[in-house]
Amino acid sequence: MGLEIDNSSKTEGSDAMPTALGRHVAPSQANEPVPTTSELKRTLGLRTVVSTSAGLTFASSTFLVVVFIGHSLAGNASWIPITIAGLLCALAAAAFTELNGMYPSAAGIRLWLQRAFGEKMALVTSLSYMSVVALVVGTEAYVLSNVLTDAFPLIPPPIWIFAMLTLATFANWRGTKIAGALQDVITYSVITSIVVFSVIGLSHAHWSVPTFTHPGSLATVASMVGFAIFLFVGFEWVTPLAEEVKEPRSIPYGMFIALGLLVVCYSLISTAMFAGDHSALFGAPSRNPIPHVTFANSILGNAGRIVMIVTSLCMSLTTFNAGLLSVSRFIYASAREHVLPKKLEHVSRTLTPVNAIVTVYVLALAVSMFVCVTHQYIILVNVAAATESLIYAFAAACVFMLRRKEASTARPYRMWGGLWLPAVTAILFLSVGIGVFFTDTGFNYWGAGVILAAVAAAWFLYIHFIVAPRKARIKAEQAAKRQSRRPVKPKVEEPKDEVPVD
Amino acid sequence: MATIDEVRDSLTSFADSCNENAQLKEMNKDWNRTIEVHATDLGADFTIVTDNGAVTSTDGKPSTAADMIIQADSEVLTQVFYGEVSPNEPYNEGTLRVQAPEQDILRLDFITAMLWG
Repeated sequence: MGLEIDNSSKTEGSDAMPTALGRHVAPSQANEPVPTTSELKRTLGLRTVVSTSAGLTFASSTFLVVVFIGHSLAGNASWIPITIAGLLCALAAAAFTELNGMYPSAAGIRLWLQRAFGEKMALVTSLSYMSVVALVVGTEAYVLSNVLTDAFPLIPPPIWIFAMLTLATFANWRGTKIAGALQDVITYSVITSIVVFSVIGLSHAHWSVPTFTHPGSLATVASMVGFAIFLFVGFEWVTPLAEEVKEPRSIPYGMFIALGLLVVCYSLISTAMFAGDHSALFGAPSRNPIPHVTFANSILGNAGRIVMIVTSLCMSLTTFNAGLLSVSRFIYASAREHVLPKKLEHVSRTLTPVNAIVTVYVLALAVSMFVCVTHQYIILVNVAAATESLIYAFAAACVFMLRRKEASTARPYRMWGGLWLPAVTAILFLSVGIGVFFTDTGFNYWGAGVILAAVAAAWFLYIHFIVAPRKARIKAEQAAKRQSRRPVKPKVEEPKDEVPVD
Repeated sequence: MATIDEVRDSLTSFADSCNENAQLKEMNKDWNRTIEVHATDLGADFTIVTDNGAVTSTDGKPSTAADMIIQADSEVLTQVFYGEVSPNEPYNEGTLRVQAPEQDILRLDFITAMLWG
């Protein structure tokens, strides 16, 4: 959706590009970077790209949002805001594809923001984003701990939180990453499980969904779109795999397919969870952190409960792995570029950034324990939903800005719509993101806005008053060091055949 | 802009530093990679090979498919391989492009961190 593909950059031997995603564009007048003709060893296929993109979004905490949306709408029509959110995310996917085509990098949004808006903006935004991801990991730990306590009631949630985060941190310290094949198994098992539960749930309700097309007021639907964005959080984290896929176009295709699968899965499960008299099971979303387990238990008894607990574990596994891994590596990279304290760039014998990993561990543990004591998890989900919308707004804004600032840079993929579609996409995401804070007058909404504003303001002050002067000083030192270490360049003789200019 | 000789010297200096570091050699024993280095402004290619902990640098492209491709202008490459700047800075600015799996990019950065801090 909303994408044009420049075949001049496709890999040798690939087929003619289908036109499903848009028309081809003429080879661009590239001036940087100069591509080499060398081949890189590439191993990943489309199936793994889809499973990674979809798998990174699956989390146990997404069911809280499904129930919240279901409760907020007049009828059983959660599929409407979910589908709209999925379509909006497809626009974001088109923006990410263009940006990643221009600057394929594991640094992702950090790099694109820097090119588009400068270093300060890039640092404030990416540091705020990573802080929110750490909050999400903490929230996810809390939800999963409640799921596991439901399975083993003798062990209280705080013990589970400690055990799971310690285990995930140990795996992170050992450098363990979920391999492509395992990711395939996990994601496709989760999808199967959700679809099967949905079908059984709908059957349990005699396929009766009388209010399927009655969501209520337009304003309610619009505000629920902001929350539904949370269901797609992380689909774009697949872009760093760009250098590992056999076919570069697998990345955009994979993201679009994953978004389609997610829309179907979440639409189905939300409809099933609110079909018949199921909605009476959950109570208010802030009172039941494990509505999916309650639902599974109600339709299939203990067997259903156990299968849903295993499904929930699988969903959280990928969230923990991706969350802890990316935040710790981001902290390490920030320390390497003199943004965070130097101690955080320490590398262990296992070649992992041990101090950064421990920092994330302490942060996630503190957040989950705080949530465990206060039960304030909805506010963190709201912060995450709004932040993700704002990040997608920034991605579209980057496309807009870079089309103006770097019009001649090669773009293997190009989002449709010239300047207007990226601009409209940015405005839409900005609106739904900010809309989250005004959904209700309760603390969970305005409080989420205050938390996000406080996080961003804190990072801005830190960058402005501490990092900027530090970086300026280090740059001067580097220049001096360069002069002393590098061999003096031989003086270049003037070319003798040059025509003298009078 | 640096010269071809300067880029070559920086790569040799990098390889020497890796080979002189016993801890790094031990850690890299399981990391056998062929790395192509392309200086975009000079149109020059170099190859770094890590094999059983030993690092070598040669002129030209690798004979087989590379595990990693590093592209930047000669000045950035020279600064990075002399350890004058952390690779993170040009990488985040988009002036240093590394085509490789994420773990390999991190590994290379870890190596420079261990060498030069």
